[in-house]
Amino acid sequence: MSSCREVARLIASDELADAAWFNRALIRLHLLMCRHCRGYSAQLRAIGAGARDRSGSNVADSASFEKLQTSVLERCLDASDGTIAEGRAPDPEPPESPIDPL
Amino acid sequence: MDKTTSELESATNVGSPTFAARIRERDAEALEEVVRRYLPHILRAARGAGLAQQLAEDVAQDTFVTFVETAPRFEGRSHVRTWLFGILYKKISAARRSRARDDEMDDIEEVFEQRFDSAGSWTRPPLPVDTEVYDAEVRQGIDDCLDRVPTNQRMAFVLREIEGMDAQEICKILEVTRTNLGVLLHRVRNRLRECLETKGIEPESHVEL
Repeated sequence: MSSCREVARLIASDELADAAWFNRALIRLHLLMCRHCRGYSAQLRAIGAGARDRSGSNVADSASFEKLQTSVLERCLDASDGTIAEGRAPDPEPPESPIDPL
Repeated sequence: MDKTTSELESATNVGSPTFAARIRERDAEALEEVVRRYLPHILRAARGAGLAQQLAEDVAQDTFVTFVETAPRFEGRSHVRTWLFGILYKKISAARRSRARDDEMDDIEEVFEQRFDSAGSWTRPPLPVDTEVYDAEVRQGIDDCLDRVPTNQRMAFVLREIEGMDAQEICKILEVTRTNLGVLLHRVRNRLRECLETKGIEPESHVEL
């Protein structure tokens, strides 16, 4: 039978999913019987959910994002143009099918 | 006709070999697609890793510039996203170097062990929590608690919990084994849990209603 320490370690290290099915079943059974491990597991889930909430999905909506994206696009195109110009001239047209999809 | 459709999909699907070839050639449209698709994620991860807004924007920008500079070496063996986050991780490590304490020895392991007896049962079990109260405590305290976490642990946490990546991809980005990743996640989660628990019982951090 798994100890609380082993169960807690498996949960915190995300290794439960990799465990063999019978070990997973044993751990589920342990969680059913042990309120401390259940509480621990719930706390870790709450911490993950809290971090997701705090990070928010509003990154792309912020006022500065549009400016940043424009600037990144410009710098990326500069970086790519610069190097290609040093070498051979770029192909004006991309090849029709450079790679066989199969 | 089918073939044309699949070629077209293959060329615009960022995970495909055709797309990898376009990245190597620094095809402007392909680069733009990558920026538009992943900049929000890269910026969010940089913020999540603890960089202030301006620094996070600078690091995100540098990440894409390095991405374009190194694009000719992109072989498509890993996903574009994995490659990008790998660059980001190196930039974040450099930016946080002064404060990073990615020691092998980590006192959180000792703190964790001390919660169990020799048989492995809880001697100091987690404090029983009301879920709503705990959620409020997490929201209030997590930034502060995350601040004390070493960069590699923090990145592991951000990629897993915020970006929702699977273990295999995170291992490639952080260049660690699955076992190492387990240790990083174990440490960061226990560190956060302990930190929040300490905050929760301090009288001055009571939530004012």
